[in-house]
Amino acid sequence: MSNGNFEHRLDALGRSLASGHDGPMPPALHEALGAKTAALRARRIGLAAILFMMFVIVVLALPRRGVKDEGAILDDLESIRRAVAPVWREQVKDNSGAAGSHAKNQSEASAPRAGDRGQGEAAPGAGK
Amino acid sequence: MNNTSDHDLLRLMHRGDHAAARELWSRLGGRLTALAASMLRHSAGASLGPDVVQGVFLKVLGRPARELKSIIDVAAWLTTLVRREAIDTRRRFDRGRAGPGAVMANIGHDAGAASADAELLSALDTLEEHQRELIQLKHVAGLTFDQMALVLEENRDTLASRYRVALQRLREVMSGRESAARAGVGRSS
Repeated sequence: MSNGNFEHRLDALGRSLASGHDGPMPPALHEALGAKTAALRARRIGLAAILFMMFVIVVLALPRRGVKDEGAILDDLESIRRAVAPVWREQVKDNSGAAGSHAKNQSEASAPRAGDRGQGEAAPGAGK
Repeated sequence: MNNTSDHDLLRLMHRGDHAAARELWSRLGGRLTALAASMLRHSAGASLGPDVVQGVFLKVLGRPARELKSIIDVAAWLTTLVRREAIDTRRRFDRGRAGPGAVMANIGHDAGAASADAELLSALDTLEEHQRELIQLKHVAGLTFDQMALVLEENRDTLASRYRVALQRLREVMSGRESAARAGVGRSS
């Protein structure tokens, strides 16, 4: 018997063994596929719910929080300005007392007072 | 579904597609079951072959989807899983079996073997384990040498060489038996 013939005989044996086991897919596999489909559907629904919640947070909640934060920052800045203003005035007074008389007179005449910072733009000689 | 590749069928089955699973089973289920049955014929029993293949398909459903993308050849990959599972089943059976009677009781339960060439099957049994496995992978599982190389993680040419040796050995056994049978017939006549 040649090798080729012998291999054909083995092929026939293999086909015969395989055909003996040909048949429909086992029921357990059908059930597993059904469970898998259900699990994937539940996962998709969960994912969609999470995305929806994220959308709600981003679109509705975050902008309100932003406005609130902006107001808080402005309040903070105002309180800092109030706290710093008296100290700043004292500092300017000390500086002006220590300076030379001529230079002092000139600077006092030309520059607005530090304590009047908020009204500096309206001071005479400011160019307006 | 007939034109769909094995890769696509596996991917669809993993998503729970029944039609894809049926098609993949019809393409590979018979060969894989026959392989498992022939591997377990002398230990746990050929009747466990379908259970082994079914278990492998169930395990595939539980694997992560990213793992399926790295598969080179679906038939070779499933054969690898079935082979490992059959070896594990055989080991479990060998550890827990009561005695030789249990082994003998399981032989002959192979549905495919009923119509197969019993003489060739018994000649296969005379081969060494690794030689028999090569013949099983080539002719029962219907794999190419490239696929066998993937399953056994060995060089393709080495496997082809070993396969030729196994084939030669099988031919010698068959020739010896045929000569003995002819001599027996001559003596009796």
